[in-house]
Amino acid sequence: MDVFGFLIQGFGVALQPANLAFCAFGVIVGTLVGALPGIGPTGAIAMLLAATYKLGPTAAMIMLAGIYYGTQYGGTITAVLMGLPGEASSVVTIFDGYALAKQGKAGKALGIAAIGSFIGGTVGVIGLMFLGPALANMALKFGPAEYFTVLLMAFSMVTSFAGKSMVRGFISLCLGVSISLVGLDVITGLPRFTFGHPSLYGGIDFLPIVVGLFGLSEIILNFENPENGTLIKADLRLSKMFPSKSEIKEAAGPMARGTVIGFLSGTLPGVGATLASFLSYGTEKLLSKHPEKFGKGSIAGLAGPETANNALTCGAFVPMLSMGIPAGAVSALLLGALLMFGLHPGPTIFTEQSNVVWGLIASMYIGNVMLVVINMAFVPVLVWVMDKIRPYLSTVVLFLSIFGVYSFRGSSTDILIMTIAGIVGYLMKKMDFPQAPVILGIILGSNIEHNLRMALTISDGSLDIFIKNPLCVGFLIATLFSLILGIVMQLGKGKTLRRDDIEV
Amino acid sequence: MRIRVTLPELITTAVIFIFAIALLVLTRGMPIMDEGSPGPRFFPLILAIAFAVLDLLYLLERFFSKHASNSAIIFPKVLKPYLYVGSAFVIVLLWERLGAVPTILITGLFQFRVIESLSWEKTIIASLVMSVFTYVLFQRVLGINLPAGLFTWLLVR
Repeated sequence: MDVFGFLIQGFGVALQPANLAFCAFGVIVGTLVGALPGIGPTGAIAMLLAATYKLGPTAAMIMLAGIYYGTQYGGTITAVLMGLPGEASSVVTIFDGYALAKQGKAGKALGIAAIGSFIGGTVGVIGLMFLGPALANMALKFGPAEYFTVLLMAFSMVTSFAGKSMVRGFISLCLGVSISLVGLDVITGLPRFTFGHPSLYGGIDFLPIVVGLFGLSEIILNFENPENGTLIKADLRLSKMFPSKSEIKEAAGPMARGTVIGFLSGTLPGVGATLASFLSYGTEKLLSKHPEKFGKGSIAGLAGPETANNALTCGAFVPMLSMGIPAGAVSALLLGALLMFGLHPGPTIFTEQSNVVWGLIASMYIGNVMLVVINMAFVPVLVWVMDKIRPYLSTVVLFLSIFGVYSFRGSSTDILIMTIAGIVGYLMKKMDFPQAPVILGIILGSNIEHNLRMALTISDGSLDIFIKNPLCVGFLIATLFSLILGIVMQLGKGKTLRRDDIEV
Repeated sequence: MRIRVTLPELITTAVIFIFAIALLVLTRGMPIMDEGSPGPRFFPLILAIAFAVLDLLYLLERFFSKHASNSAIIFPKVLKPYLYVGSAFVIVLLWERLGAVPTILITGLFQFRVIESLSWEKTIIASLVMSVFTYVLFQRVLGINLPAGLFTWLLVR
């Protein structure tokens, strides 16, 4: 079957009433999560991941993916109307979106952002549809040595750009990998770090840890730094949301470039939505005939980054589905979700699990249509709901996390692990230790160990296996490059800080 | 030169070092290499070395940093986070004993009233709605067997 045949099959799955309902639920929750400052897509997905266990892989993946790309739409609402980032990548939207809102053009800003997000999301899915299977075919040629080096590259790329310090990033990564080692050794069957408890033979499950690390810790931190922005009063009727012809013309180029920048950034582990948005903003400012307008309500400065962060969500699915390589924390969680359902992302998933994968891809087209409608026609309703939910948020998050974690294995010990992980996550945030590498380590740690040991067994313990293979050499060069770039960027940050100190 | 390593950072350094040692100690009976192939201790050994090196780099990073760390005070100054975490532990304690729904009802009352500072009216309504919603969603819709605790007799009947 070709790509279009699979896509038709996917639409057959995604258009089933139950899956449509889960897609709608996912995008609405995603929009609200994106709009509410204090809880990001990682926390929301982590909390709902456990609750989706009973839904089966197709419905669960459709819903979780809906939350992921829905957050990118929702973040815009808070950024434009409150000048606060609902989620990290919306920071760039504040520069021009909030400026437009203060000029009385909040509706226009939200409309342009929604259209841009729709274009980025939809074109991104087309990219995923073609690039995903192509990359998967390439991955068919991968042996243990190639898998080890590609995982090493992903680890290095995600960790080098996560957080303020590379050293702390790698410590987080090692912590995650250590957790993944608990249980029976896959090759010899010997128990490791189990302290004689048979309950640990199967390893420590990642779910309670991620819910605590990402969900609870965010809420605990919010008590200290409550973000109580005030909403700009704006006319948000549908008629006020549509941009004029000249505005569409002004936004078309940035949207096209934003799509390419976002999608390609998504396929690279470690880049992330925030960096992609800044890349798009920088590109637009560089290409603009009126760079002085940026930050004061520029249409291009709003359209480009908004398109980029949505295209990125689709790009992130490419390495995750075709090679099992997550591009960041959210895709690591989605990878974890697939593994939780016993599905193994990799070269064969596009054909052997076509219902799940193509159902997911088709649902992304549908979800993007739903989102553009919700974000243009129902913004006043969303703003109202957002305002009403806020006082109850921390309690609702705690209860949903607890029920979600308990429902996974029916164990109250998991609730305890989640609470402890929440405290650890909070302390990590306070000490500037990034959390994304921990999750990457937990999910892929045993995989990287297995592939390294297999590769060395094949080569009789010789490291030549990694040097003689051109693919491995390519991945190792990319690993080294990301490390050097990370160091250079960190030194750059240091210089900036020192300059700031002098100015102060 | 002013040294800016804080006590929490020193504790972190010690914890990481203990972690590295633990990786070695807990795998001490296992082979590093087994008939030419890497054994079960091979990867923990690499990790322990990585931890030790990173720990040293972390200490050096903080030691030579010219900027004050924002981690000098790591514990919250406000009461709410403590109450929030405390109520999570209370839920763990009561979950199996009292049952899931009554636990949520009781901790909900505490959370909404004390932590969120809602009025009594809103607190009671929100707690009831939350308990019913979670029961319907998880027990009825998703079919998860929630602990009934003290009220098990009611279900047995």
